[in-house]
Amino acid sequence: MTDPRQALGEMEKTLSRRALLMNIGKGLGVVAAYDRFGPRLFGTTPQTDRQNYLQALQIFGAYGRMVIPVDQDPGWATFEPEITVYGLDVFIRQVFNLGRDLAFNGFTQAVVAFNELPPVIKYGRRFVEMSLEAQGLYLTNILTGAFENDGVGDILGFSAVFMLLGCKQTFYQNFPKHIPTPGAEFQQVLGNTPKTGWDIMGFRGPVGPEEERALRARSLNAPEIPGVDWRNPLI
Amino acid sequence: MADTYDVIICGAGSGGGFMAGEIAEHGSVLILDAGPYFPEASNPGVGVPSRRALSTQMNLGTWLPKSKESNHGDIFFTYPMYMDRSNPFAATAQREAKVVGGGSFVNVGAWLRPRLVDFDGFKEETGVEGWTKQAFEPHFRRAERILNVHRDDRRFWNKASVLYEQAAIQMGIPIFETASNRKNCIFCGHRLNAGMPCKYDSLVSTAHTQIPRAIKAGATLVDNATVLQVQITNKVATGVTYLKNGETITANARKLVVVSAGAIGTPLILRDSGLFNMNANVGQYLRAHPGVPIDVLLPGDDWGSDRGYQWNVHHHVLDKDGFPMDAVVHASAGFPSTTSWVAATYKIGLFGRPYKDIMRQFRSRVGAFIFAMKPAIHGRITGTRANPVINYPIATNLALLEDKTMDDLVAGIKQVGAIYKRIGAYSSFPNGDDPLPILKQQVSLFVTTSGALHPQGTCRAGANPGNSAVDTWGMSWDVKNLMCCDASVIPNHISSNPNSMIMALASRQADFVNSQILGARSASTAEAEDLAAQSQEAVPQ
Repeated sequence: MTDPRQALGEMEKTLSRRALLMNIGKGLGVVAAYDRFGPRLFGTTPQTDRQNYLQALQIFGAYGRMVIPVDQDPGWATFEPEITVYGLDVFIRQVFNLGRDLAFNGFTQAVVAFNELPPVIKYGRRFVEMSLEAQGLYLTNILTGAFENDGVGDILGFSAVFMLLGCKQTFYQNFPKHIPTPGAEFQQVLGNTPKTGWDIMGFRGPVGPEEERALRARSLNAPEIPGVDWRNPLI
Repeated sequence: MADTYDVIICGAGSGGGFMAGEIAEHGSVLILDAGPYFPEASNPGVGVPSRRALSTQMNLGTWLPKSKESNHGDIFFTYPMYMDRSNPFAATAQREAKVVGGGSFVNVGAWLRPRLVDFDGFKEETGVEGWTKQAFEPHFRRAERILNVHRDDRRFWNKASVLYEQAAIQMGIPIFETASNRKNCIFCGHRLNAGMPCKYDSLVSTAHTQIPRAIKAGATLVDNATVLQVQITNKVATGVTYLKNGETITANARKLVVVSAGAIGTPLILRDSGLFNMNANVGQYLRAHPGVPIDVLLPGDDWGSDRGYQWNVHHHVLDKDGFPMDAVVHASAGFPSTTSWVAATYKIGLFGRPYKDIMRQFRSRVGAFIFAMKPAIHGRITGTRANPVINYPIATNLALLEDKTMDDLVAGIKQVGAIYKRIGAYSSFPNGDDPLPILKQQVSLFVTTSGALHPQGTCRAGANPGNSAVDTWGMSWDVKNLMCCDASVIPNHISSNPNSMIMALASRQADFVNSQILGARSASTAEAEDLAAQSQEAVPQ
């Protein structure tokens, strides 16, 4: 028969790890769900947790260095802190949390837990203190469910948030040099100094004035076939 | 400004916007829309400064919600939609256009008609009368004429679409050209960045056609006006209360109030107006189209997938017996449309070497989108406009999708993968040859974190108030002089994106309004009479 004290210790260890992972995975969603009623329940206006926010900036920036498309690209490190602030304030706060502070706090807490998890489970240093290789291995272990037999869905959910962030930013934003000034007709597509991964790869980015003229000349009076495709017997 | 009109239309999108153009010359019309209107005359293929700036600003995030107090962004309403009741994390941000022109202003521009079986489905689902292919055909044609619906000359297809079509034909899969409502497109390649109004105004929306037509006929358009509720007295709709510049205004309607705020917005407005106490079907039967992308690597690096118009072809996924399933494939797309989504949501590379490799290969990547058009489930909308609760519980407690949706999407992945393999693809993701449990997990993850498009059916039309919110003409069963006119009235799933269906039903309902409410000739009657007159003139006396 198992020693109750030992069982208790095991349980506590498992539960605490589980709780951390749950917090990571569901922090955003649960808080978002409660957020609908939270402010009314608490009778207060939620404020952003400043300390967690600052720490989340560091963690998020560390993650950013792992998703730069090209090795030569100095990447987010060059753009810090702009890109991280932009990522957290625009993408996390507004897109994922729909502008709700309580949900945003839930996210930053989850990110902080993600950083703090390795030493707690005797895995290694905090995420921000790891080498680039170790950070990659850590994320790989999370994504492959190496830490937990159950709760894989939660971990996948958490990773979904990160991956959307990474992709959204590196693909669509091309931050910070290629975004337009407010009210501008064109995005800026001039090369950066230093060059970003996009420049190195030759991604053309949004259409600029010269290319627009060329495309228009090419498509001028393009023939059109009116209506839908009537060969389709299903419609 | 007069405060009494014959008709008040709440929402100037695909439905309300189209109707406005059809009825404005027969009565006084007030058009309210929560979003901005860009009044410059359209200059297709070139654009006007305000619309160009709007599109350019998308990457700045200006369309995003402004604060927690409001889900009203500049260009979109953004609603949290819960995909799995047991797990609130499985929620996505569902958007509805908040701009004059609505969905027709911001959609991808692919114009698909519903299938014939959809019309049978309407009758089977709610017993609704009159929703037949024959009845709707002239309205589809009218909408297609007004919106310049056409197919492109093959010189402007992207290379992947050409090869995809050839490969599919060789495999015995019927494949069709995709029509589109554009004019003078310069094929910049950025239309598939969904939610981005065309910078060059080549997308022909109701904001470019029917709304200006309505204004020219004397209609009044009030933009940036948030409808709060429909005024109902003794079960008769008498007007609309809306918010404009912080001021609450009530406008009176002599004959009709049309609610056309989208499949999410319309039931919420009606709930705020007290309709849910009268009819339990308001907000029920939310249908939508979960979809997944597939992304492949092809030999060569000159696919040009960051330029050129995409989605030139489409087909239905075939089952093992060769019959069309309820899944539609749009091909071919590529960077920046599918590749990034695939990389993101299937996690083939989130960081490090795999991710970097994907990015490097963007010139060799093309892809397609697969939509499940008839999931076996429906959701519902409750709450209020200020605090909406949108449930679309498509995932089970095991975090997998319900079976029919899963089967349709998995079959699509396998078939599309096989087509690309025939073209020469040497890698695809997701890979239809992977073990089924892995494939299912990937599909579930994508859908539950990315959402389902094309909401419809939340105030559906039917044969009686027991199974529907409105009658065949979109008129409320419970409140006189109240009509719904948007995707919410579609009685059952359709096998296409709903834009064409919405405009066709708006055209049909506009005929009803003209002939039965405003006492004018309907457009269909007028067209028929004109044709008869022309024939008469042609006959020698």
